[in-house]
Amino acid sequence: MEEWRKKIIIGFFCLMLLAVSLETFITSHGLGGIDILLGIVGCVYFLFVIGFMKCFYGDSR
Amino acid sequence: MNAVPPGFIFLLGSFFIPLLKGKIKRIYLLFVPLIAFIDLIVVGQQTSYFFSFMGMELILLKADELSLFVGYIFALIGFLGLLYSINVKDDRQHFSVFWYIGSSLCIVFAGDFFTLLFFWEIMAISSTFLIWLQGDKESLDAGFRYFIMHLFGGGCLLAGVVTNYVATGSLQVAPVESGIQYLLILVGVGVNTVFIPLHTWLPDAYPRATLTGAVFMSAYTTKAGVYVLARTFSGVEAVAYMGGLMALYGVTFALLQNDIRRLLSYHIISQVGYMVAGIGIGTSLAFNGGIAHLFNHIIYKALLFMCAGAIIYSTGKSKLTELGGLVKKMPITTLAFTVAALSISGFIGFNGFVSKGMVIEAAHSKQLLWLLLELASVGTILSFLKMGYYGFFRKRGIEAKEASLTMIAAMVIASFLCIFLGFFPDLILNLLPYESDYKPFAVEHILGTIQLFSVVCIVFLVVAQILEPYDKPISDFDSFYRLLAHSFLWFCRKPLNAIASTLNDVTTKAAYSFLWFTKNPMNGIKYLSTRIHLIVLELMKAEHAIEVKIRLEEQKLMHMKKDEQISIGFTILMVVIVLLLYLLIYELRV
Repeated sequence: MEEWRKKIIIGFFCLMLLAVSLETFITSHGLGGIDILLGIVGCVYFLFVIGFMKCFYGDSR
Repeated sequence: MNAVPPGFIFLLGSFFIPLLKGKIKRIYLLFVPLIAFIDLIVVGQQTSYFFSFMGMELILLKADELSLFVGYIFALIGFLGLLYSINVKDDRQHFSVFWYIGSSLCIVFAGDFFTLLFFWEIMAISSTFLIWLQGDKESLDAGFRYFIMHLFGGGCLLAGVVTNYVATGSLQVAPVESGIQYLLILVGVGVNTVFIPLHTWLPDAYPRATLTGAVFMSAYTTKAGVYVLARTFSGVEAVAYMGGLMALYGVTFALLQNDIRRLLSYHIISQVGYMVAGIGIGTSLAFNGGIAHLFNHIIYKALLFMCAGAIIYSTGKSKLTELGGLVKKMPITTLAFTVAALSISGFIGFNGFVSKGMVIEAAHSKQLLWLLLELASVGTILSFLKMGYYGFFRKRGIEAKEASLTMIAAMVIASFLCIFLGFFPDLILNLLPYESDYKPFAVEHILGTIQLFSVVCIVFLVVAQILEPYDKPISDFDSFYRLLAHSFLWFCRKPLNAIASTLNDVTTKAAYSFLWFTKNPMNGIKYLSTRIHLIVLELMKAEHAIEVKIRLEEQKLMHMKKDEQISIGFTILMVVIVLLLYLLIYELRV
């Protein structure tokens, strides 16, 4: 993996942790992070669909 | 004040386009939407321009909060679209655009179903020309398919309106009573509102429209449908779930596209899904959210189509597999695209953040719908990360330059509006039909958005390879429709044709036999009886069958001889008998 890619990933990871911490401590929700869970579920769903379509239609590459 | 219906300014204004040339024409093209916008401000809330037609009371101008709100954005995007397309030399395109905008505005301000339906059809026809004017065979075919789908939708709407009028005696554009009319009007509106599976015309036609025509088409047809849906089917739960399905379905197919305009077309289905969901939920927050999303979506979607048009205009390429590296060659377009992508993804500080947030917040009461809408949000972010990376940011040496100044000006103004309305959402929230205390910049909403964007960006960066553009056509419901159409054509050509030709043979034979019989009916009767006699004898294997056969041949020859024919008087007698029989039957029936 390229260096720039790693740095951006780390940056987003820190941002994500900060947002979860703030949600947990500032708001009255309790433990935050439901949106992270949704994001993961969504990404898994879409990657599965893309993978399935590529198997079904054949990869163009 | 009794102002002119805003749509009529465009409709009447179109006739002056061919008369003007050069700079005057360009000024005129921008002047007309400005006049329409001023007219909208002057109109205020009123109901006027009544007239009677075939005993029906029709209303051309019924302006309330909802119609004025939609009217503002229709006129505004008309101005931006015309600024973007001001250098187009083809008068036919401008003429079609004026009729398209004018009829859309007339739909919004129609006070009755009949007027609405009339302009609904004009909108379909004028937008079809925006596809055909691209001028290639693909556009011609796509235009016909688009037109057929809208004829079907218009037909359903007409049938629904007539049935509703017969049942209730009302032509008012208002919630429809249950019955067959309910279903017909829902399907009619559903074609324009791209309900699944009536959506296939959109990703088929929009990528094949003219570059500037697609900008207008992204704004009017579906949104006019959403407006009518808001008037007639607000608070219908099935409509809300249809919205959720559209949101997820559209974005799933968008992720699989390679053509940038086709990708954006599927995103229209997805974003219209949010509006439909909001209207279907029907609470004041949801309804406001759906209508606010209509307003915001028109701006950022037009901007996205403007960017796509600028890319195709500049590079001649429309596939992600062929694009890349545009950030250095087209920096302003890249910036405009980034703003539009962040808006459609609902990032903080952009207009989509507010309206999408309202719909999702309102959907909390319906868990499944909420999940569908949230998943669609994830797909939207992924999809625009893919389009941005493979279209603009990946390293690739492609020949391109910025589009013309007026195109850029239109993109810059639209980008500014996306950001401005993102930071000052009250400007549109205050114009919405219902009052609500929604707080767009609630801490939970902001933190949730940051989390969602962060996780999706991380996933994209890790698995960008999987999302690499995919240059193969993906089947949608249109494959099914094509199969149905081909089967129907096969049925017409083969079995139906065979039945027709058999029927033709039988009737021709019967006619000839009748003709033969009437030449000499007496001999004909003799001939037939002899023939039956012969068949019976042959079956019994009788010895004197040969004699009968010879007699039959004689009778056949006699039938052909002219002097043996019966007189015309006998034929007339037969005709008189038939007529008398007919008279007798008629009298008995009476």
